[in-house]
Amino acid sequence: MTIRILGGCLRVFSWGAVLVLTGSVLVLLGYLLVKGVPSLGRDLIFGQVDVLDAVLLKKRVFDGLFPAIAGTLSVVALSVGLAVPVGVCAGIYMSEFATVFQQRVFGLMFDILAGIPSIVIGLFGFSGAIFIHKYISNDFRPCLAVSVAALAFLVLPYITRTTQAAMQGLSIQIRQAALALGATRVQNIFYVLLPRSFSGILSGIILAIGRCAEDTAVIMLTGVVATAGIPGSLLGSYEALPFYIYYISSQYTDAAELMSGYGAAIILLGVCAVLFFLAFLIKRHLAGPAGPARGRFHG
Amino acid sequence: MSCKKNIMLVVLMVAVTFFQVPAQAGAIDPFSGLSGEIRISGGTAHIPVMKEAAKQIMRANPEISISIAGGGSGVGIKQVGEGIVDIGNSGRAATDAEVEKYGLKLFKWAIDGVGAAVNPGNPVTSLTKAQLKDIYSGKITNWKDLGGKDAPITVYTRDESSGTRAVFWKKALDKGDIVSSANFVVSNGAMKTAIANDPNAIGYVSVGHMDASVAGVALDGVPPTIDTVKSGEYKVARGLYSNTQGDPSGLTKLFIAYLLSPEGQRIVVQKGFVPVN
Repeated sequence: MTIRILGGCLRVFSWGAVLVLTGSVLVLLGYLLVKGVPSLGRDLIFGQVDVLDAVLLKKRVFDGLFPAIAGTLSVVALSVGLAVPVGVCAGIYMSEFATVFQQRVFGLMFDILAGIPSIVIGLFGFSGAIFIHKYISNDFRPCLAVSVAALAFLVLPYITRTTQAAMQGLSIQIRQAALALGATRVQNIFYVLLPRSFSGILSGIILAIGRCAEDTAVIMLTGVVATAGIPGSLLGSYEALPFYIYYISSQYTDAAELMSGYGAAIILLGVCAVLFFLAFLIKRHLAGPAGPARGRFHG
Repeated sequence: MSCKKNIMLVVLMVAVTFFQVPAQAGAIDPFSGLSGEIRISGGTAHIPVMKEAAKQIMRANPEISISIAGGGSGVGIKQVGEGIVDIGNSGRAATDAEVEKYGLKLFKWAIDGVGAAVNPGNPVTSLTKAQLKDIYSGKITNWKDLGGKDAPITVYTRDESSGTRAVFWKKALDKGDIVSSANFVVSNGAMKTAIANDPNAIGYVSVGHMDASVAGVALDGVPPTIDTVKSGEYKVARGLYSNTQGDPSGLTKLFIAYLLSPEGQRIVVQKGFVPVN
């Protein structure tokens, strides 16, 4: 009897929890849309510059978010590009080569890295940049390269851990079939394990993309500025959407500027949505027909 | 007759082109053909002027890139001192210790007044310095004591890193106490929003930011306006500085010269500050 009451309670509570979550997402999105949509428009992104001229980099945009969008995309692409090979290889090592003891020690390290607040990673990047500036090259300062490196460290644990989990999650039959047929360990990894865990690895990468796109604390200390134009070099400053939103919401001079902050928030969400969608397409394209789906009985 | 008219027209056109060209290009000219980067950080009040100047320069010279970051006066001085940026902005003169430690050169290119402000619906638009200090120290807590309606005063202030706060505290409050129940806001814009939405508010904003959404409070009979700051009548004011490490050179030197040129000073006026030249 009590069990049944408890079960009923749990069910109601779970339902409530789901409703609260969905509700808060909808309220948040609704609030952003109501506040931000009026400011959305060509001018918000490109200012007074012709769209084609801006996209082809013929003219620089000064009053719009275009440089910040370009900055965000560069930061995401570069840091994920840097983190993925390292993270995936570390994950492969953890899953395929490490002893149980090594798995425990390294796993703990990765979890600690995952738990470090991003502001601390930002501070570390900043100190590193200052060190290089002082002792190695006077021309080196906080810049795009420092932000990219710091962000890559921030997302490495996600990629490593999801890669490891995805590979270890494969069934023992799949893991050993090729080996039993005489494949080498490396062949097994490349032809069997990686393709089959691709979907899981990609979830980690998607998480990493989101994190790189939205993190403000790291970039704030390592090279992002209020105005810099389209990022031209790894050693230069750049603009980014999350920093713009942070900056505008604390330093706005009039209501219209604050509104443009809401517009920027919607654009940031849009940029993330596009990146996620691209990742999703890649996942379907690569992991769809040739990947795990084929191995399933109903596939 | 028509011949005379034509000659007049030609003379006029020549005169117009003659005077227009230098007026449009003048101060930008030295930048032409140059390339490189100028890094600027520091005081947030400076950013609108910096942005506009950078825009003018970069639009005419695509090879020059100018990056502008905020951070506050302290950050600007420290970063330029450490050689991380080329120009560090500050809303106060660098102290002797800072000048000596970093070998700074100071360039003052504008003056900014800071005025107390209340909600436009508030009948109290003039205070003595003593009254203002009493409000901020928490001695006077109701508008009726100042000739207003019977309502508690809500005090707004900026955070410690604000240069606006520094000058208001030093010159309007004579470094007096700020009551601990004061509400913190983070920028001139946020201060204006707070005051505009709170009928019982008092706060302070940069004179350049004052508009119809708030009412400036005359201090000892002097209203905080660009004109009174310019004439020196209104005392709660500060210089806006750009600092460099040692004598500026190259693009940095040109940039500072541009700020002090008639065009740069026009931007200063346009953004609500008092020019120095």
